[in-house]
Amino acid sequence: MRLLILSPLILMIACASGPEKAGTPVFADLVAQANELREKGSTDKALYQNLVEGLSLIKKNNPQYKSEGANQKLAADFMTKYPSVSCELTVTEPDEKYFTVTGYASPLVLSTACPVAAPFLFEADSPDIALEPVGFDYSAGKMTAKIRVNSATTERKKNKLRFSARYYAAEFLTALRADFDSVETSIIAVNPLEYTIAATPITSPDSYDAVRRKFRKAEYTSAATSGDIGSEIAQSETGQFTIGGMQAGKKFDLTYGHPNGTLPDGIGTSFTTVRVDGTDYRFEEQRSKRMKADDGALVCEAKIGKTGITVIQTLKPEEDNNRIRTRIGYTIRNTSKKARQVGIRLMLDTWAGKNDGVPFLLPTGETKQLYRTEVEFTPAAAVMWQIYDTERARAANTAPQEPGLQNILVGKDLVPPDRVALANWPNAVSSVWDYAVSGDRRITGDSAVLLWWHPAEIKPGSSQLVATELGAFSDKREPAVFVTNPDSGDLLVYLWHYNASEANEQVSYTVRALNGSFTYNVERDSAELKPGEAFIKANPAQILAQGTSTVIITETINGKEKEYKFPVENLKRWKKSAGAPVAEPGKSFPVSYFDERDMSLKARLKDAGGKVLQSIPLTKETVDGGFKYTGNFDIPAGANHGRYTVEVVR
Amino acid sequence: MKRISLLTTVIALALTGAVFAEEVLSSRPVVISPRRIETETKAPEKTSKRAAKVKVERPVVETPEKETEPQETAISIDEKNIVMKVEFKAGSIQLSKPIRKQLIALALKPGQKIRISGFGEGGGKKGTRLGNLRARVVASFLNEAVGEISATLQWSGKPHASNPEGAVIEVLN
Repeated sequence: MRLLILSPLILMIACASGPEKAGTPVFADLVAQANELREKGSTDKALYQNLVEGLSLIKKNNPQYKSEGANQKLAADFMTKYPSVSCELTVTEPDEKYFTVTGYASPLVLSTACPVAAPFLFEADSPDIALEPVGFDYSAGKMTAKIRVNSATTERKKNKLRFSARYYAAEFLTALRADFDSVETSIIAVNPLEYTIAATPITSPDSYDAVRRKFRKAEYTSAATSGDIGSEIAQSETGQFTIGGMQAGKKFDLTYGHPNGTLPDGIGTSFTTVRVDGTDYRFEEQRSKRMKADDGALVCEAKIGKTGITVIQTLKPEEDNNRIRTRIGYTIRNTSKKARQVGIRLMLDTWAGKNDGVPFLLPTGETKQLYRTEVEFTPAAAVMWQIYDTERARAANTAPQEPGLQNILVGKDLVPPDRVALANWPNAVSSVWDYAVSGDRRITGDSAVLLWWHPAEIKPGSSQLVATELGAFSDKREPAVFVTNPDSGDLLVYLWHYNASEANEQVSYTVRALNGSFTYNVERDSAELKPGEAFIKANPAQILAQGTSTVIITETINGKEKEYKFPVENLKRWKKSAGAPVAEPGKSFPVSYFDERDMSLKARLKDAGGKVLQSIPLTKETVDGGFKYTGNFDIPAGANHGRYTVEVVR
Repeated sequence: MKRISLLTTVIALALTGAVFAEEVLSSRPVVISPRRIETETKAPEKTSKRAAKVKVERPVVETPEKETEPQETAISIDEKNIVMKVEFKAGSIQLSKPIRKQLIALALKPGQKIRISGFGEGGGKKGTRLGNLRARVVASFLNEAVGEISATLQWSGKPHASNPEGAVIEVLN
């Protein structure tokens, strides 16, 4: 039996009458204490127990106390403040699948008008199903409680919850009523007392049963390794794919079903949607040609219905010495004779290996950056997401571990999506394009990521590219640098600190490059961390230098500095432009370009359809060995959100 | 002399082109989006259409979520423009395989102006709806098979006296 005790009611009573002092002093004091607990909305059970014990002592010392008129009045007045009430309860089930193993992803919502003017306890329990309280609100006599149902039995009638409510002072009231022969009661009647979950539980061993029947084998596979880490891809004959990783000879899944002999193998729980002029096409249902390219990329080219749109999916595991990374790209070609609005939605059934069940992290440097329930964000808010092993962070474990799943949205040939959602997979898999996240729906254990590149115009004969990087990273409990585009010197500076001490810590960072032009604009680079809190922030940066440079991150904790150095090689300084990969409406967006030549240049901002929206002249300044050209775009507050290109033009 | 002058003009034009030609020195993608992290969002109103294999049989496309009953339209058919009479089974809006083949064999081109007339069976609201759906299922199939066509739809709840089949296609240009 699992007992659920919901967060108790805290009552705020503005006008409290003073305690009455007439009658036997000790009894009057006891009633005054009881009134005070009620007025303060106390939910401390021990204090209510003290009342019961106090009354018992009074009875023992002065059995006649109940005969005194003043005491009778005190008791009667007190009891009238705890009337019997009836609360009609409404239970709302989420519009979701109900699984035997995992229950509902979102909680049941219980609501009732229950005008109770004293602290009370509401309980829900079930002998057969697992329950968990997730929220409780009581105001103006209305109660809303959220209860997560984490399992189901195959016998529907057993999927039942029982409800009860009582005053915190119930035991004291019972004793008083017995002593003063009161026939009234102080019952909070909840109606109905029981609720049987209406949904038919899905009796599959897990939520993948429905799609498992459609599981496909790999038609092509590809892998890339660097040192002891590597990434793998498998693609089925429908173009659906899975991604896996390797470290020190051990293989693991990064998306569910990767055929590597670990965990269930089978491709089919992730899929891609192509939206053409408002019509959604599932990529795997289109006629396609597939091949493995010489560079190891797995290519699937599909004609999208009769639209004249061709989408080429390119999956490429890439070598990297500090992280596992796989590039997922879509080239959209318009072979029709009219302009088309085309968008891509990628839904990946994420699998965090042995870390499954851990929260997701948006490394924004904010205290609230861990998510156990659904969330959506834009790349302007976070340029990557990761999973976060809370236990490992807390345990200060520095031993090598299985890399944690991560998705970097910016980098070489990557086009940040317009929108990203971390979602509950069973819910996400039944959507084709639109999806609304809910902070009630959990993502731990069975998660998916949705990436949207919103529809943008593609002219006849034109192409567009969208791409992202899914991979994994083994954090070393310290800052790191991810090189996201070695050609252009683009980096992600990854700041990481966990306060393992028992006192608050003040942490701050400065980041610089030993040589070259370094672009790093960060709004938040410091925080005060309570014990057990972490500061994790990923921020784009760019280094333009010739040959080699070193990025130096200086971490200051409570005034004590520590430097972390990250050499970056094969850099090129000239004929490169610099600028953040994301821009916000209503803000200035600086661009710069470096060249040995003395020229007159301008920069222009083009939308995905190739239309020039802004053109600005670039200001020239002499730098060592060449020239630096700079300018600022003023992004209008009402600018359309989406994919753009910044070109530097002579 | 005239010949030389023309040549000079051509060279001058070519030079002008060279002077104003633009050279793109670098290109970087950027996404413009507001800074946003949300844990509660609302799905937009359903405007998208899901492409499916059954699409030809279930013309759900272009059907509003809660549409009002279609009103009967005035029917105007020019017999000489009729290119195909589309037969349906009684009460059905499904296009049979041979009919679908015939529709493809019409070799209509994207953008071509056509008029599709759909007819119901018993009149009344039910018949009008059937006529409306038959016209739309034909348009939907042609849109899918041919590409965007410029179709004008008209429908009636009652069978047409001279065209008892369920729908008629006319080419207007």
